[in-house]
Amino acid sequence: MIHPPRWFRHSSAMALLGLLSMGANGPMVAGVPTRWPSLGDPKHVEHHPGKMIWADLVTPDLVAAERFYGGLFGWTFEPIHSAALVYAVASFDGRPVGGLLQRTLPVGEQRQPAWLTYFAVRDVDATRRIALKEGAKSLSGPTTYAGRGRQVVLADPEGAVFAVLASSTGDPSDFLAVPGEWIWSSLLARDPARDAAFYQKLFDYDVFDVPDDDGAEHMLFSSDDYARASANTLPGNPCRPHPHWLNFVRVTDAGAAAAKAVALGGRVLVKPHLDRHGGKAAIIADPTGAPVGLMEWSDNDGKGEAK
Amino acid sequence: MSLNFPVGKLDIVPWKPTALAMLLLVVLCGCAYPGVSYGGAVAVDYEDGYPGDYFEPYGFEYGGWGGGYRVGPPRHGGRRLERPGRPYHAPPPSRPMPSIPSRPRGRR
Repeated sequence: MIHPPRWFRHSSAMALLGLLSMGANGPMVAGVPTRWPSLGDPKHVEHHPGKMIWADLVTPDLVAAERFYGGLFGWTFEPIHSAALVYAVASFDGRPVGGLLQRTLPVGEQRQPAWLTYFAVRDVDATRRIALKEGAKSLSGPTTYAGRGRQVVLADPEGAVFAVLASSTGDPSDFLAVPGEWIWSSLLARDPARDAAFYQKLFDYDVFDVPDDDGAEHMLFSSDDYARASANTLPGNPCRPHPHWLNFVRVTDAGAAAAKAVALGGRVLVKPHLDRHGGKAAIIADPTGAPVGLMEWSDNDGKGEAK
Repeated sequence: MSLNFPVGKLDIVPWKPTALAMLLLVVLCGCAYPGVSYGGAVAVDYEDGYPGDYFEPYGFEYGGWGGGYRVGPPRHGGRRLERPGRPYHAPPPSRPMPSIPSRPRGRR
């Protein structure tokens, strides 16, 4: 069922906001609280196009989500509430890792909460132009938020939704994620090779073709000589294709984390199993059904791949 | 066979094997899945709902993840394939496959 987009229903209010806050980069939304966390280090501003730098969970139950993710990963939350916004910034060890937005599930529709993945870019508008030319759809924006940057939400040619963000404070530095932080993102797609070409045009990725044991395709995306993400053949029923991005949080023990997720009201979608790098990976769903990945990663880098 | 109605005549096409086969195919594959087109249903906008009504179609498919299905990053220098005719540009074969950042936080 197609509904009129919210931007259409509220276009008058948004236009007024835009007129009130017109900035050098176009409309700047003034009504949004400006307490956005700094993503980069203001002392050492750096940019890493193609790097996953943020994620937003859209959930119908913010309290339940905070309880789940706080209990599972040790995240803490800072509320940002206004008349139009029920949002919380999630942090780990004082570093922001993402946001949780409470929204009501559409009545009469079977839709599912999910995490929205943000990738770093230098120029949102240029990236959007390339994306549209290559068959993507623009779902929202571009919009500039004071203290955050400019962003747009897109659906790639297969329909997987993602966002790009030109952070006004730069991008996080390239450190090894500690347990409790995002460590990896995977695109599950019908045609990973074709999607690889699409994302290569957007983020100037280097694309490596990685062999897989079961015949599925696995494309590795890298930038700055670091692996950033992968595209994998969508598993499961080919008649129910649902291309999407899936993010993984580093954990020390995927089995223990999965058990804890269940104890906190979540579900295990994919049991912990050995992955390419030698650690275990699993997929869980939070109490409202939003999937999230768990991934072990040992600090002993350079030991070679799992056989 | 035909039925007469006050406004005209409705022809009822007899069952045909091909139509039956198509119906069976759809049922067996469970292809009556919720649409994945986001159309106008998504407005990812912070003030008007930051980031809006981003809800995925119901029902993720994870049942097909077999033991050999791997999604994670490789370690440095993992094996890679060289296949001609791919739709993307691949780095030269001499280029080792990178891994994720390994630098501990706090070190520059």
